[in-house]
Amino acid sequence: MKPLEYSIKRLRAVRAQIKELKESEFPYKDSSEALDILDKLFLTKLERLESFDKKSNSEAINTECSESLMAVFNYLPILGFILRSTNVRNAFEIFGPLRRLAEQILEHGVDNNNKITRLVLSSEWSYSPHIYTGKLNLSGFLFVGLPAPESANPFLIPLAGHEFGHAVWINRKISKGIEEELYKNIFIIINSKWHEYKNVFAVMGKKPSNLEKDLSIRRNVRHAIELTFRHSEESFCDFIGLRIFGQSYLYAFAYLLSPKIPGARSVRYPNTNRRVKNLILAAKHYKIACPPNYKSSFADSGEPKLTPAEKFNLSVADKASDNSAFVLKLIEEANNFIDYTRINKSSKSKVMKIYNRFNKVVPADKCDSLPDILNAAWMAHQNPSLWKQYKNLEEGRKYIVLKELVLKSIEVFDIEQIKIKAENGNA
Amino acid sequence: MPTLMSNPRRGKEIIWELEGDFPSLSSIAAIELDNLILKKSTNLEGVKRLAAKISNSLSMTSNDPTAIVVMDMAMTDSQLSSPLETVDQLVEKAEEIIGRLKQIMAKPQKTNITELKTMRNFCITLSKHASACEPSPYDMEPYHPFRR
Repeated sequence: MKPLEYSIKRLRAVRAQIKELKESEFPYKDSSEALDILDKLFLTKLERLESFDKKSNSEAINTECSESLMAVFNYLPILGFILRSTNVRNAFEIFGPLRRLAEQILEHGVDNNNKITRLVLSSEWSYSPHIYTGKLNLSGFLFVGLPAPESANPFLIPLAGHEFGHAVWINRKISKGIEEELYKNIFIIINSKWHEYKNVFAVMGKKPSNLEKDLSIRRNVRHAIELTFRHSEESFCDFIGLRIFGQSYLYAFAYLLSPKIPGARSVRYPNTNRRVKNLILAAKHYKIACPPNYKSSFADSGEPKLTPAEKFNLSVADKASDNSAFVLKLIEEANNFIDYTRINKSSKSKVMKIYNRFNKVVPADKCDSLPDILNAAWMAHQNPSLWKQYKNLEEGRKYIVLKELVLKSIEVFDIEQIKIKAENGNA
Repeated sequence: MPTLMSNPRRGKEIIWELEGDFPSLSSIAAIELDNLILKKSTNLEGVKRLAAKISNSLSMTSNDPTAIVVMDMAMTDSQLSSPLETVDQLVEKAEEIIGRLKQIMAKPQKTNITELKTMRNFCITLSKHASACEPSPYDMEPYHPFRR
């Protein structure tokens, strides 16, 4: 068996694949830049493996071979993602405005020459918008995937706000500001559930004087801590999406998730009713009107089958991240952050102006922001008497025409923004 | 506009960021220490970054609770410490290890081989435990009821 030889061959195969992908036609250069970085990463790993010789420690060789295999598993889906970002199924009209929005969120105040935000937007064959986070984010990349059948649907663009929230959470180290409070919540709950903890983890003996510092407890509740942070992050991202896109975020959220996510509930997210309850609370805080009967459109998914330890950890995470003072803190945190980026709340008068254009079946121009366009779009969508005067326009066609109008308005907005930038010497 | 990789320094930093997790970084550090033992190279950039990562990850309220668990397992398995009971003890022991890594960085060629081997083996063990705390690539595959 020759793990080193096979590992080298695997990495060469990945690099050959990247080389082929580079031959694709890229509608925007962020995708090809991502390929350059991944190529460099695999080259670095390959050179490391090739530098081993007969005297090298066999354990060190095997560990690195295994790490290089992990990189293949981790990055292959991202290479596929980059390839799909070139597909004409994507609504390329939304790329420019979304990228500028991402830049404003993540690099407000940074000089244009030093900006590192890059957006790779793709239509994905999974019915859930998502973002690849972690180390890729730190390099400035946002890989945002929208479900293929909806990737050209402008009504769902607000959900990208939630995905940008993940990048904010990581890059701005939001968890640093709340970790003490979260840990405090977690260990207060474990203390109150001590009897259950003892049974679940078969603990003998007395309760330690300081639960937080006890290493065996840390081992047992590691997942509770991870899930608490994870739930908090998801709530924060909902608040960021809501704060940026206003009411249109609530509609897009309902389009995607109502009445509930089928199957058992994912432990990585707060259950649907809790997300909706928190969104309604945040909407009130941000003075965003909530659609009528919003809450009644949703229901919780069923509880998953878990081991007693997993169940204990999930119950701790649910309780710790649902502390009402803590949720309010997250709502405020998201608001303060977006205020800092100078992204204005959608203005009623500007939304109305755009809506009036849509009402005349005319694309809007001179818009101030993407959220204004999307809020006007949802306002038109919700109006049952829209275009009643156009007798020849079939009911079923209205939605398609409205989508085209919105996309055209976004395209016009993009061109106007490019023009403004060029006039200011920042093209 | 310049690309991210067009600045060689920034390009190198991006690759370090992508390899900045515990499993990768400790594997790189192990290779560097092995190369030092074999007198192939005195480059210890990975060791330096690993020492900094350990130091940054072991706060009492870290949002990465895995770091504490992984360090505990790696130190016990490489016999750098007896089984520990509290987070404070663990942080103290981890600081000792960071100190030992820093000593190697200060005088790479003067460190005795036994110490280099001990720290190399610790880095290998750390990488293995950190990797074992990550989900298996098979579990990362999207679950689908029709898929096997």
